[in-house]
Amino acid sequence: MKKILYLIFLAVAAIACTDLDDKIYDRIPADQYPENEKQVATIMTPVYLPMKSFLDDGGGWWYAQEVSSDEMTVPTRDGDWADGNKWVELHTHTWNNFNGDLNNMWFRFYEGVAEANRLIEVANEWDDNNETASFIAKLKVMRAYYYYLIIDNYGDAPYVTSYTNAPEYPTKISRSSLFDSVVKELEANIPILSDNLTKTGVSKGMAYSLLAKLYLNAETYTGRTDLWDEAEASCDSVIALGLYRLESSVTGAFITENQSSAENIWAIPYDEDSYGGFLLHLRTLHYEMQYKYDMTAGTWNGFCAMEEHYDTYTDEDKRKEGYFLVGPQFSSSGEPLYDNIAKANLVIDPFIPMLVMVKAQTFWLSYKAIRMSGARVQKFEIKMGAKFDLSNDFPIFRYADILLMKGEAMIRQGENGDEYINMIRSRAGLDPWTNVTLDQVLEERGREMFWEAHRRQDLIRFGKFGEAWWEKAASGPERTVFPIPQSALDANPNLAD
Amino acid sequence: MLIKGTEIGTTSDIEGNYSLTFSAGDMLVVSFVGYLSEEIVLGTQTQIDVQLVPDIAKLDEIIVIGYGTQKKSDKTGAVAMVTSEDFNQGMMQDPIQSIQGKVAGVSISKPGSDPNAGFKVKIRGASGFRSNTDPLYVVDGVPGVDPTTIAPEDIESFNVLKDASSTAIYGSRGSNGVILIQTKKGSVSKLNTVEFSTYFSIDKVAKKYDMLSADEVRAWADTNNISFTDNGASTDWQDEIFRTGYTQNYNLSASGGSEAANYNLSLTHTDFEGVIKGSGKKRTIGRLSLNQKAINNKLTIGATLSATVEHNDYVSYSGSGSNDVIYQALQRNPTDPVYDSLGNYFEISRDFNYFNPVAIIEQRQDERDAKRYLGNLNMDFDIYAGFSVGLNLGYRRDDSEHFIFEPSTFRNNTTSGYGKREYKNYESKLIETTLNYNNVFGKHNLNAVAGYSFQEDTETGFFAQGSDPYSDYVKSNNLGALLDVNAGDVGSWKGSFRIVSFFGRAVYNYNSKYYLTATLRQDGSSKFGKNNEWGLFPSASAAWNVHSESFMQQFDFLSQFKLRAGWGISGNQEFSNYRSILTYEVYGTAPNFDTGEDAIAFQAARNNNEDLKWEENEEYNIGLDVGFLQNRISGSFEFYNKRTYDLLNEYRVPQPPNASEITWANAGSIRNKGFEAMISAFIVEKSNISWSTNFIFSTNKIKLESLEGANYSWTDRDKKKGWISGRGVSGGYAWTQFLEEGNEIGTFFMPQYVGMDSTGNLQYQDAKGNVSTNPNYADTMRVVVGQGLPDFELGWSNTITFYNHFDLGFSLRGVFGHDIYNVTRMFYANYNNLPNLNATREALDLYEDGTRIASTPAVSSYYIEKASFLRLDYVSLGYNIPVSNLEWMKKARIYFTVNNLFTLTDYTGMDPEVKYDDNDLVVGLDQYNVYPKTRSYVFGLNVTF
Repeated sequence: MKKILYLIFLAVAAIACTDLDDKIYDRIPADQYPENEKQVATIMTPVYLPMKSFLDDGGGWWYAQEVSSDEMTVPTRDGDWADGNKWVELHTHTWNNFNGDLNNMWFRFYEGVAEANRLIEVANEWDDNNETASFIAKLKVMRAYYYYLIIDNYGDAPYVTSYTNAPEYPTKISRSSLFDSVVKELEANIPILSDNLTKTGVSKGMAYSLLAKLYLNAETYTGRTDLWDEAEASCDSVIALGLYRLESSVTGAFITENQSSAENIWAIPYDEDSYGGFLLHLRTLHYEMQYKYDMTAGTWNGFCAMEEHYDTYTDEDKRKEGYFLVGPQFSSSGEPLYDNIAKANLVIDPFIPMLVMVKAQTFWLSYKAIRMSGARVQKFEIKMGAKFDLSNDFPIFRYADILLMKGEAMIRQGENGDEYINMIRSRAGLDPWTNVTLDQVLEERGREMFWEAHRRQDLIRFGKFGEAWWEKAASGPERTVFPIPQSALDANPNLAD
Repeated sequence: MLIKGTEIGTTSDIEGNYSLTFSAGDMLVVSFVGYLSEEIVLGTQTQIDVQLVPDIAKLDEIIVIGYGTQKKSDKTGAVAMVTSEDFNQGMMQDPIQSIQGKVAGVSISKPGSDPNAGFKVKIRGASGFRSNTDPLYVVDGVPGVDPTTIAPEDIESFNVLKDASSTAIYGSRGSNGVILIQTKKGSVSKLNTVEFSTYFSIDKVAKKYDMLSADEVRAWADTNNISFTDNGASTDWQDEIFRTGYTQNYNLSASGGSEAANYNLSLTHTDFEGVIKGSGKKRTIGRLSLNQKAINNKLTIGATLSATVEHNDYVSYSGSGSNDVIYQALQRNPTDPVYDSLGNYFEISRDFNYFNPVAIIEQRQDERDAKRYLGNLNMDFDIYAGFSVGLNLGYRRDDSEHFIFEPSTFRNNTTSGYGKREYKNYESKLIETTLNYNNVFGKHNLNAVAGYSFQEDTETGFFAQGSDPYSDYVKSNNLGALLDVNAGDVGSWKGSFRIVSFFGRAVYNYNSKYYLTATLRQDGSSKFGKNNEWGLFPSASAAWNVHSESFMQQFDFLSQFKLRAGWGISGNQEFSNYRSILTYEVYGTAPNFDTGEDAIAFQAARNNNEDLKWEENEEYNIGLDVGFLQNRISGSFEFYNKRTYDLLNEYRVPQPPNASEITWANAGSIRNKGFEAMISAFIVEKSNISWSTNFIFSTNKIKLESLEGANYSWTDRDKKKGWISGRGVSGGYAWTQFLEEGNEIGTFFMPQYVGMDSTGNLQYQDAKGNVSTNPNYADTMRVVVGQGLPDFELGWSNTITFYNHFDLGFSLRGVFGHDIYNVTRMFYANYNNLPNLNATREALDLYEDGTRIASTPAVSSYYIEKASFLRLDYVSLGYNIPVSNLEWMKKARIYFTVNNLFTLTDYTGMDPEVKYDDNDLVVGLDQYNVYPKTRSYVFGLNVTF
């Protein structure tokens, strides 16, 4: 008996296991990924994912382009939308580098760069064939897109193109050197891209559009004014692909099922169930307007168009009715909607009395004004029964934009751009212009590209971003770029110049 | 009783009768647990009557120190024991509540009395960034057992290992202290008994917010000539969601045995009804423990089996969400009725996020069923000459199932409904072998243990959810009734980790005068990076029993005087697994961007870090044990200084070069320094009355020493803590605390309120002394204005017995010097809410005073309140019914207890208890998320057969 017991204890001691290797069950070990064709087909997804949060707090890009401009605003509505003053600061150009949304934008851009760098090195190990080359070219174009956003929003910044051999703390290079590198990279890789048509992934149309954007804004980025012809040529390359055309309706490109619209060149493929992140409808609609669309998510009564911008649309302009929600509002069954705090039927008034509407500070303000002012936006169709997220794809590059850019580039070279600007005007039901001026281009761009996150860049290109408007005082040229986030400066000492 | 120097001995029967054969001149040693041993020189008498003196300092008590026990008088580290007779009385929601306020240096807090919420237990300060800083619980030798699976009635004792010299034997899991729980075992001395105990508790809401009534809101609107939608009702929304709760508890146990075998069997059922309607917990615990000796008493085999079945009904109150009933009830207009004329829940869209809390409670299903099992087998075998071997096998399984359902009619048909089921399964396997050596060489006493331990934990889970239910009847019991189910609505997980350890300890003393203890543990964990798989945790401690030195004999008032000193290194590895390696995790649905078709994406979640390792804690402890007047007064005092470093956190790294912005790494340090005192005294010890008292005092200073290491540091963004949210406030500047080197954790950092200007606006002063009415929010405007952690805590427990049959106990507990930022007051002591939303009476007073508060109130020290409090945790009166003439009954006691009879505090919120958030880095935020504190009236009965 004793011996048996000794044996039991000895046996337990002898099997004393010291194996500490992780047993991995519900995720894929790095050396096993990708396992199959399906994973290979989506291996590039992480490079696109940062764009998913562009329209909301997690990415901040849309806010940065729109709220800082003269076409829309986020007024403080008594207790709502104060949010630590972030909207007011963005609209009045008084932000600092602690603004969470602006900071997130920086991190999303470099997340895309880092993922592209890593995957390029993964693909460098693959068999050297056309497929691999085209895959690497796509990654390089996506990386160029993120660098374009970095150039546009931040100016001087680190240019890192390697994953394993990158410096631990990268240093900044100048905005114009960044521009040169990115343009060079794009020119080199566009020919390698495959010809397949995609509106969600990298395509030749997307890459030429990106190149056109870089050239058109080259003066902002580098001071050079000799690249308008390159901008025009890039637009021509998009047009020459023959894949894109204007929708006949002014809102045709923005309907819920717009994924196959021939007007959209490249879009973020939002989906209410499988790819959420597009919730501007919640941010703009008045609380009661949930019942206009029988929505299953509450709406937030915030974002609205600036009155001055709303007024740039004439009554003949089809976009006025197509884009905006003003006047009395009704439920889906036709009942007038009623606001319990304002104690009145809901009537949206484009006039916004002031940026900060707080009853306790400004006693003469009515709750009607506080809660119902500012034209609301339905440019992107809000379908009946809309959920928390919209399914409409959000265009980053759109054919109408290319036409306007082409026209602008021609005018900037002293040529006549009427043909291209008027294509947009006539679709909107407006009379054509002759001898279109640059100021008119900016006006028409404002009307056409509203709500699509182009306005900040356009105002800067036309030298009007620093002007005073409404409650915004004139701001200095330093406001044409955003500050590098404090947390990025903390993590990398080389970023502080 | 034993003849000294022989193995001749016997035990007395229950009446105290015994017989023994001896020779004249022999010395008889009479001993009994809890009494001082007595030695009697024997002559020729045939009857020897002995009356033992109670050992009131309990120096002979056996304390548990992890992989062994020792006499209390032999301890060298900071170890405290609380046995069942000293537990807190009354309605206990959690066994750990039994020792709240009883052990110096162990801070046990829970704001409010939610039966489903756990207590925060922090031993000598919480020192971690992202790791779990709860102590390690070891139940009958099995680490990691959740103490809530044990009925308080089944617990024999708690032993708390506080300093690193004591906890180093638990290596990489010791740095937050170790609480060893011993459950009741059968024994010969207990004879065969059956015990039944029960109590019934009436739990009342001790404090409500002073919200305005419907008439007051109407009067306000009239006076100020503001029209609003008056729906005609007069509803007290707090009364609509609160109730009196009734708690019932039943425990039946049977225990007995012989020299060779004993058993203890118990069954406990408790039904906690929460004071928020719809919330509650039902729990049944069965427990069986067996011990048997064999092979000439050389082999001892013991086993414990326990099973817990628990059902939870949850109601959400965690913040300002649409389902959070406290927030919804406080803001709700008192002129709104609960039901409309048709009997449906009344809903009105007065404002964003404004919903009927009664509808939320009654319509929303949020339930959990848990089944938890523990099996434990241990064997000890005496080999030869002081050597013995031990084997400890443990198996633990926790299975739970969660049901959530919101009907299609929820919120007046404005949602699409929702249903979810989730399963979680946790399994832990333990194998431990030990070799013990115990011997006495003259005046040298040696005890040594060496061991090996292997633990593997596996966690699995599964969930499915969807919306658009076609049946509100079947709820989440049948998810098949949900129409809208998408990819990503179904998920599951499985993960595991291992800890492998080798450990040893040697305890030596010379003539019970000089003591030395040394321990060493080597821990390997699969959570650590490849370069740091194994960690070494040493400790050493010594004690000098000064009292037994000859020069001390002159101080005859002293009965005990012992100095102790200890040093040790322990660790913490309580963080998620797979943090050191790069893996590809399921991201969820995302299109194939080339084709636009639906696909599943994978993503690298974080950078790998092959250097990732445990947090390390180095601690010095100096202790003093004294006793006076035959130990009628005794005390233990401890000073400690501990530094926890290589703290685990998600650190931000530049991206690129890194693929992810996040790397899990070790950096930074926190220092805790403190002093603890525990004093016991027998104030009165007479035949018809006795009064014993225990007093504890503890103070701890926690300081953030460093927020950076060689390659990793905290960014400013992450140092901002204590985010609050409410109407119009979220993100941006809505933070209240800042982590700064040199400061304490929980330091409030915000604009300082200094007074009102002539028009009633609040004024703030910045660090340079500038005063302005604009809180300005900028970081430069912020100064240190308060502290969420207390300066000191004390506890005073008393037991008085009189006229043999009555006993009276009470326990006072005080926590002093902490502040709470009262977000609830910030948003409800605001007249701007009126008349559409409700406000507190303070709002009216402020308005009358002329104080003008913005409709979106600004973060400022105006809302910081002193939260020091003194609470009567319980007062209990018991009566032992005389049953000596009953053959079949051994004992019967009835009692009446009141928990929380009073709380003295200046704090205006629900409960001033210390409140931790966000991995313990945020302390002292009350934002509509404190469950009401109850006052409980408890009627109880214990009978022993």
